[in-house]
Amino acid sequence: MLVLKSKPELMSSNQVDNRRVGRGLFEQLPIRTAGLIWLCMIASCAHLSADVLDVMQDELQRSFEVLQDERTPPYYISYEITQSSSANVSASFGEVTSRENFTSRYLDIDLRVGDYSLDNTHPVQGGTEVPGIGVYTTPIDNADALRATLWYRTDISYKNALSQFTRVRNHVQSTVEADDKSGDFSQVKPSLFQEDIVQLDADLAQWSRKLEQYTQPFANSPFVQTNSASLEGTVETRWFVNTDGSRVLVSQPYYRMVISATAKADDGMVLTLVRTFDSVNPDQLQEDEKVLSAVNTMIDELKSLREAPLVDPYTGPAVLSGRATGVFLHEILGHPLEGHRQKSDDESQTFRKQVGERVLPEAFTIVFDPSLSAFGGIDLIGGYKFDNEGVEGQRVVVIENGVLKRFLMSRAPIEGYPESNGHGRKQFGRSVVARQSNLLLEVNDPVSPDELEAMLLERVEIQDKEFGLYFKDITGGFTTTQRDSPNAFNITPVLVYKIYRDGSRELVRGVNLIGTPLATLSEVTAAASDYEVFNGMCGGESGSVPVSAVAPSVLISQIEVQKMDISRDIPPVLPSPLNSSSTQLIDHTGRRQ
Amino acid sequence: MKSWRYCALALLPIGLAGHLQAQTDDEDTLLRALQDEMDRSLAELQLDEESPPYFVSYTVIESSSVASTYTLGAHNRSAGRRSRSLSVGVRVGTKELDNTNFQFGGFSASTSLPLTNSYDELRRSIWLATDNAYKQAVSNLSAKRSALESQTIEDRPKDFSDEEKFTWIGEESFTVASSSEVSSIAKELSTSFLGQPDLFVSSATASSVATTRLYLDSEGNFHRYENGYCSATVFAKTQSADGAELQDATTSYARRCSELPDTDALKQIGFDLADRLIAQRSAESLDNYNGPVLFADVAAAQFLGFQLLSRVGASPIPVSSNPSMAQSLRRSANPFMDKLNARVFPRFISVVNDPTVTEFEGNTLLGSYHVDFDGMPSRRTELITNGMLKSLLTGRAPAKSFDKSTGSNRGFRTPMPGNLFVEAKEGLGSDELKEELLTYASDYGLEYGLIVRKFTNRQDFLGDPVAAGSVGFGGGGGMVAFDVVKLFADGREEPVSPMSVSNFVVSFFKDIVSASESRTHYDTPISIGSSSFVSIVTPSLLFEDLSFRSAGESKPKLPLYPHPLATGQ
Repeated sequence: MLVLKSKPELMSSNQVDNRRVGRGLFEQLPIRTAGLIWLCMIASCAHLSADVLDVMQDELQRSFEVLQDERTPPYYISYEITQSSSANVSASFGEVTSRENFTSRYLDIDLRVGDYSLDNTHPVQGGTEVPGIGVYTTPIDNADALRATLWYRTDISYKNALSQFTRVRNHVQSTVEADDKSGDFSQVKPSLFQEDIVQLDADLAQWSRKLEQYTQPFANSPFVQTNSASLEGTVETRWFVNTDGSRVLVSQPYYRMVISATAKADDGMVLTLVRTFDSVNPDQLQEDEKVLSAVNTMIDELKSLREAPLVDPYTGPAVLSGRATGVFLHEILGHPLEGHRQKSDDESQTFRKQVGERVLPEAFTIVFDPSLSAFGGIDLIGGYKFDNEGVEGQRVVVIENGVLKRFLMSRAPIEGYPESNGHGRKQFGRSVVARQSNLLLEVNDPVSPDELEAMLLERVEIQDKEFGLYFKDITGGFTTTQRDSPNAFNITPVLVYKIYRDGSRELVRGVNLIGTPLATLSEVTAAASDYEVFNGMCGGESGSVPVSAVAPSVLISQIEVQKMDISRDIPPVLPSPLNSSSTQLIDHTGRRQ
Repeated sequence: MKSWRYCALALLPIGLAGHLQAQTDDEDTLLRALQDEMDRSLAELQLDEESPPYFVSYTVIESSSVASTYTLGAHNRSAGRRSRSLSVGVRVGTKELDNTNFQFGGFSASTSLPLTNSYDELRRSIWLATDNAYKQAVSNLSAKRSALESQTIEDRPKDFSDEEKFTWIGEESFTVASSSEVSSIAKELSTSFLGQPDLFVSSATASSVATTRLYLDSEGNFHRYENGYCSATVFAKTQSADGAELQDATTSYARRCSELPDTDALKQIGFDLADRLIAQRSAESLDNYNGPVLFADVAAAQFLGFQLLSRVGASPIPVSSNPSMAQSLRRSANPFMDKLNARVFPRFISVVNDPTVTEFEGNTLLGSYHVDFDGMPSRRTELITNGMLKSLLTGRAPAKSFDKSTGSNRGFRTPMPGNLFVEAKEGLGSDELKEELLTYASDYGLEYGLIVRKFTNRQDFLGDPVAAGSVGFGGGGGMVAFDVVKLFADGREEPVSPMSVSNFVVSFFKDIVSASESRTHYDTPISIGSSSFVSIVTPSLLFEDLSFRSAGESKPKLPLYPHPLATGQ
C-alpha cells in the first residue's frame, strides 16, 4: 500500500530555547544543556568536506578490485552515506511541549553480482532473504573509521549478494520466461557533482516563540479538543560514489511546519484539519500574518465542520481543488506509472499496455520534474538534483496531450525503457525503486474557476442529481497497485461542499473519495487555471520520500464517495476547566443533561 | 552499608498546601493545576448511572536526555530530547472490585504536558487525560463485572490495598549532562579499539538522563523525586576462526557522568573487552556441557538478574473474559507465588531486598530509591531466609497471600526489587571455591569444570546504534555466557566459545552447592531505556549441575579481504 500524508515522517530532532533558563526547577538545566547540543551538532557538520568522497572512492576501488578475484565477482558497487541533521520544536495551545535534536549518518551499499541482464536484485517469488538487513550508522569525520565501516559492510553485502544470486538463478531456471525480458540494471554515464554542505538554520528560541504564538488562538477556541504544531528543520546531505565513476555530493535543506487541530462533532466524529507550510528557508515558514490567517481559517472551518451534516454514499460529478487534484493524480496515476510496477508479477501493471493510448483529455499533460524548486512562490519539496542512484533528476513528460508516453524510471529497466530518468529514490536503509518527484499538471485550455463550477452544475443537471461535490482540501490518500487486492485508491478529504443546482454551497463531512484508476481517469473532463501546491511525504517500498504535486481544479464527471470510519466516543464528561465553572452530567449517548 | 532514614511523613497531617511551599513558583503552578483538576474530578466526574472515581493519581515525569556515539574516535550519531509526560490513574468501583487487574489493560492514560507552566494549558491537558482515563475505567469495570459473572474465581484478592499515607520530597537534584560532555566520553572511549583490525565493528556510546517525578493521588500520597544516570557503553564485534560471530558490550553506569570511572579506567574496560574478544577468536568451541558451573563475580549477579528478578514479585492474576486468555494468564503467573514457606534455594542462602541502602563497599547502588511509582515508601523485605521463600515484593495491587505493598512498583509490569542482596553462610574463598568446582567435576567424571565470568546483556547492546545494527533484529542478546573458561585440576584455564544455559528452571536454584565469602555488585536497568535500576549484590555461586550448549549458532564466512587498517593495507 502506498500512502501519502501531509504530516511529516521525517526523523525529528530538536533544540531547546534557553531564554527560560532559571525560571523554574523543571526547566533550568535541561534547557541550558540542550542548547549546547545544537551548537555541537552544527560544529560537527562544519568541517565535513568532499574528502569523504575520496575515502569512499578509495575503499570502493580497493573492495571492487579485491573481490574481482572471487569466482563470482561484483560487477557494480555503490556507496551512499546520508547525513540527517534535524531539529524540532512542538507546541500545543500556546505552549511548547517538546524539543529534540538529532544527527546521524547512515550507510547504504548497492552491490551487484552477475551482470546487467541478470543480477542478485532480480525479483524472485517470495522476495529476498537478506540477513542483517537494516539501518547502519557510520562515522565520516575520520578516514580510518569510515574505511573500516565501509570494508565490513561491503564484505557482508557481497556475501548476501552471492546468496541471493544463487536464489535468483534457481528461480530463473525453475520458472517460465518472463514476458518482460529487460535486464536488471541499466548503464548510465557517471555523474560528477559536488555542492557545499548546507548548515541547518534553526533558531529554536525563535521557533518556540513563533509556535506559541501560532497555537495560542486554538487555546481561545473552546471547541478545539486537541491541537499541535511542529516546526522541523532537516538538512539531508548525501555522499554517493559508484564503480561507474560517479561522485556526487548533494545537500538539501527542508523546513516544514505542520499545524493540526481536532474537534468533535456531537455524533462522536473526530474532525481533523491539518495545514502544512514547507520551504527550504525557515524564515518563509514564519510569516506571522500568513500563518495566523491560516490558523484562524482552520478554527472557523472546524467550527463549521462540527455543525456540518453527514453525507451519504454518492456517485456523481465533482470538482477537485488544486491540492485535491494533486493528491488524486499522485495516487491514481503517479504510483501506477512508477517503472518497476510494469515488470513485477505481483503488480497489476495497470498502464503497461496503455502507452500511446489516450488516458486523459487531450488538453492535459503531466510532467514529473525534480528540477523544479518552487511554484507560484511556494517551495516544492519533491525536487532534487541527483537521485539515490547518482543519476541526475530529469524532467519526464509521462502524459502528453492526454496520451501516455513513458514511465518514471530508476536504473531497473523495463522492456522498451532501458534507461533511468533519474527517479530512483529511497529513504536510507531501503533499496531504490522508481518514485515520484514533483508532479505538474499542465492544461492547454483551462477555464476559469467559475466556468468550471458552471460545468459542474451542467453535469448535475444532465445526471439529474440534486447536487455536485466540491473537494476543497484533503489530508492525503493511499492506493493499492498489487494484483492480490482491489486496484483502488482512497483519498481522505477534510473539506467537502455540496454544490446545489442553484449554486448554493453546504459544507458536509464524513466521506472518502474512492475509485479505480482507469475508470476514474476516463471521467476527468476539464481543468481550471487556479493552481495549488500539495507538499507531502510519500510512503512506499523504498521508504518515505518527499514529493510535491502542482495542479489546478479539475472537473470529474463521475466520482464515488463512501462513508469514512467514525469514532463513537462521547465528548468529555466535564466541560473544559477553562471556560465553565458549572457541571453538566452526560448520559451514555453523549447528551448533556 | 549506609541507609536512608525514613521521613515519617505518613504520620503527618498531609495537605498539599504544605508541600507547595517547598516547590518553586513554576512547580507550584503545575501542582495547583493537578490538584485543582483532581478535586474537580473527584467531585464532579461521573457518567450517569456509573460510579464516580474513588481514586485518582497523577504522575508527571519530566525527562531530559542526551546521547552520543563514536567509532574509532569519529562521530557517529548524537541526539537530545526534552519532554514532560502525565500519567493519570483512575479507579472506579471499590477497592474490593475496581476496573484494574482486567486482562492486559492498565488503569492509566498518558499524555504529553507543556514544558512551560501555563496553568490554563496544564489544566486542559490534565482534564482531557483524566476524562479519557475515567471513560476507560468505566468501560473496563463493566467488562470485568461481566466476566466475573460467568466464572468462579476462588480467593480473588481485592484490587487495591489500604496503605498509610506517605509523602516524600527528595533533596537530591540531578541535571542532564551537556552534549559536549557525553560526546567527549564516547569519543575517548571509542579510541580503545584503535589499532585493532581484528575487531570488525566497534563503537562507544555515552548518554545522560535526568528525570523529575512528581506524584500525587487522592489519598494524599505525594512525592517529588529526582533521578538520573549516566552511562558509557563499549561494543565490539569480530568472528572466530570457524566463523562464529563474537560480539560483546559492557556498560558502566553512574548517577552522574562525573561519577563514572575516570577516562583511563573506562578505556581499560574497552581494552579488556577487546582482549576478551581477541582471545575468544581462537577459543575452543564446546557443543554442550553437563556438569558443575561456577558463576564468578559479576556473572553470578547477571545470572540472578536474568533468572530471579521477575520471580521475586507477586502480581495478581488478571481477570479475563476470554477463557483461553484466562488460562494463559494463570499459566504465566510467577511460580514462586505458590511456594511461600517452601524451599527455593539451599539452606545457606538468604535473599533480601533493601532499596533503602545506598552503598555497598563504597560503591553507589543505583537500585536505591525512596518511594515507588504508587507513592509508597521503599522498605527492606526479607524474601528468602535460609533457603525458604518468606515473602514476595508487591505494589498496591494485592496478590493471593500478599495484601500490602512493599513499595516495589518500579514502573514495570511486575513488582521489582531495588537492591537485591544475596547472602551466603560459610562462604568460601576464591581458591576454595575453585577446588569445590573441581571436586564436583571429578564426581561427574569430567577433567574440568566451567567458570562463567561474564554474560552478554542485551540491554548493553541496544542503547548503541552501531551495536543494535550489528546484532540485527532479535539476534545476539539473551543469556549468552561470553567469558567462559574450563578450569583444569592443575589450575590451568582455557577459554571456551560463548555458551548458553539450557532449559533452566527456578528449581535449579536449589542445586547451588557453594558460594564465595566475597560479594560483587552489579547495576542494570529494569528494562531497556528505563531510568529505574536494580542492583544485585551477590557472592559467586557454584551450581552442582547445569547444562550448557554452544551459543555460536550463526557462523557466516570470515571477511574475504583484509581490514583496511591491517598492516600493509
